[in-house]
Amino acid sequence: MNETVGISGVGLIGPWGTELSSLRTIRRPLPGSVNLVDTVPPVEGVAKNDMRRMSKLTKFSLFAARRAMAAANRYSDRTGLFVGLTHGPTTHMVEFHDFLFDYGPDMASPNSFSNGVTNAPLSSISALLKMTYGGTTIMGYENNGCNVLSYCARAISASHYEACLAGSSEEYAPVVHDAYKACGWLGSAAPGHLPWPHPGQGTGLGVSEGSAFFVLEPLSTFTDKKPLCLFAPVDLDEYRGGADAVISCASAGPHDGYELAALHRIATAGGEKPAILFTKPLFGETFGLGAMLSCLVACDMVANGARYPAFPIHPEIAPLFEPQAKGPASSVLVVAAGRDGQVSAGLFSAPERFGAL
Amino acid sequence: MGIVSALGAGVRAHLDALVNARSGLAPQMLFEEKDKREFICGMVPHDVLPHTIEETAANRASLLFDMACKEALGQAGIRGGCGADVIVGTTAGNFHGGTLFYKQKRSGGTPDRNLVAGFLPSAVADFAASENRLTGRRLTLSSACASGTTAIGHAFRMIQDGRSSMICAGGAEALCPFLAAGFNSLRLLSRNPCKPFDAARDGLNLGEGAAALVLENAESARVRGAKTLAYVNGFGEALEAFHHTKSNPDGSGISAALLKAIDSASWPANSLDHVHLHGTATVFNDLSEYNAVKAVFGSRLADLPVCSTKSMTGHTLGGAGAISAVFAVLSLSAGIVPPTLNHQTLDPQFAELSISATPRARRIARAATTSLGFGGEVACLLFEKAPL
Repeated sequence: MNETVGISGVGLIGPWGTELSSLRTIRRPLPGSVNLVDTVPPVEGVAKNDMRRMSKLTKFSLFAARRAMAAANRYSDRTGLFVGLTHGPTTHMVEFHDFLFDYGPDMASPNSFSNGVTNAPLSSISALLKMTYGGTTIMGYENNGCNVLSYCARAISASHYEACLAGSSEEYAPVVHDAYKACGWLGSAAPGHLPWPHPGQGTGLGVSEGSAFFVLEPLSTFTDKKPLCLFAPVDLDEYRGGADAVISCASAGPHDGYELAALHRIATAGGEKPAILFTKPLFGETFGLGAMLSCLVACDMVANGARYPAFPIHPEIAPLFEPQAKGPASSVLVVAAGRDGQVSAGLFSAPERFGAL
Repeated sequence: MGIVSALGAGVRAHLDALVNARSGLAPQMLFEEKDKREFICGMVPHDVLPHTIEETAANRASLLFDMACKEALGQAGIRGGCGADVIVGTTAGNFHGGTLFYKQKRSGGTPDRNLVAGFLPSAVADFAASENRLTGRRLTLSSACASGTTAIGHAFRMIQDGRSSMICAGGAEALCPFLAAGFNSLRLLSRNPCKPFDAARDGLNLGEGAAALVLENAESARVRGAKTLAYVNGFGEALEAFHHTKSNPDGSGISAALLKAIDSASWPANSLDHVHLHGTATVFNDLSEYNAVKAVFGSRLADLPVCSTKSMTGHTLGGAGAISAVFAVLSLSAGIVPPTLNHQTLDPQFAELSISATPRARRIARAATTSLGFGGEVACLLFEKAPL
């Protein structure tokens, strides 16, 4: 079954901005730094009072989802809605627990609870955009963003949805940061793994937050306009090479061993030696969102010919890849491994390939 | 299939409870220290899974789901080491671990780093896959209280589409302070045993538990020589786009999901013999569901036996849809409509609802289950009796 779909719209928000082009100008964060979104711009259709009650995670999601749907400029009653998360609305959960521990259950805030449940971002998007067809929140680890896109592409190919709005979000919460630091997975003292973003300065990545959404549609719907780019889920066991560039979502987390194995598999799949790009040194660690942001970078590369900075590569994989793309990439493979060993991959292709499909 | 709830562990215990109209609800002290107070809850019995030991509190949802998976895989004749996928629905997973971590951090101590690895919802599927050596994909879905049904529904689609050959799918939830205090803050908890669809219903009783179903392509099950317990024939979903915590009283989301499920099975609506309702016994939930089934089944509703088993297990949130699925399959095989315990006086608004506090013997060939979750997430499944 051909599982290729077209990307017709994207939306994003992060400390770096709200436009796809803003990703290209990100300044490399310092080791262990925390980069936060200053303010979420107003979201059309959401009252200020409602925005105030929402978690950052929900605000990010609403903003990026609305942008993506507006960019796609297309609405189907049969559009599925999928949100990929790793942690959920943590700050609201913390607030809820603070009230619970300090003042007892009768003072625990119903607003913090209802806005702190895992599917609050999805239900808020559904209510704002009047999306009623169906969908769910997919929980996962560092590969989740790419996994959600692949899941939606396959569901569209099987005709379960006419289109999908699919995204991923992450909000910074000190308790999560502390938890991962306790495990030695984050912070400036964390060990360096595949990318070496800061040789000689400590190697741990910073953390960040934001949201990214895509609108996916079947190729058959693109009769009056071109998609931004094409996306196809990839099973690495069946991958035979051919991508101009590979984006790896490795960072300094426990998933890097799986990422390394996946990169070895890609490098030995055949075809010419692709360039490799690590995106997490740019964004910092954003867990499941990181893979979705990597997909945005891939989309920008093939749709707009965008170039992104390369970073020094770990000596173990340096011989397997080109350190930098020689020219604009027309196909980019995104690979992301989770800490549970699951690997997701997807191929982004330039829309010029549309006619050949 | 496998199941664990306040009624005990195992399909046999649940069939026994269904036949004998036995409830697992009991008074339980919720919250801690000075805030302790008694609520009616559906806790898994202490002899099945101790609930005072911290190490089981931190990964309780994983332990419950693993118990259900082990029973389901055993019944299906699946040995470990197979490539089956695992799909689980849960709302909070092992969130108690997160609560314990935060409590330790607030008190100035050094938080236990082991709590970090397990408290994310995805850990529930990971644990079951690891314990049962299931080497396929793992997927964790969170559709609030519709999570279990959503997980089975997506598993059904993956089998149907040829994307998977075998999936252990279900739902799990463990009672934890976050959930108990959250539902308490919304004033949704009843101090009495819940009374679904009753005129005097005044809220829900929380519960915990897990259920798992082994889904596989019917042909491959036949070739493998496996006994098919029932067929999953349809799945429907909808988003109400209405409110964070209230269901739409007009029931339009539920009826849309039910009609989609019926459409996906290519069944006429009048061919259903039984509907296992979500039936939490809150004022709004039951009204929404009634309006939905009234819209779908019309005048036939009075002859269509329905039930809610929340008065036996409590509301097991992310586990509820999977537990309903096991009950629905038992209804098909045993020919029994489960009792809706504590139901005494039908709310006059629901005049056409065929519901009873006692089990009813019926020939049931086709059954539906419905699930509603916070945020207006709705999901329905259709099951058909397998030939003997």
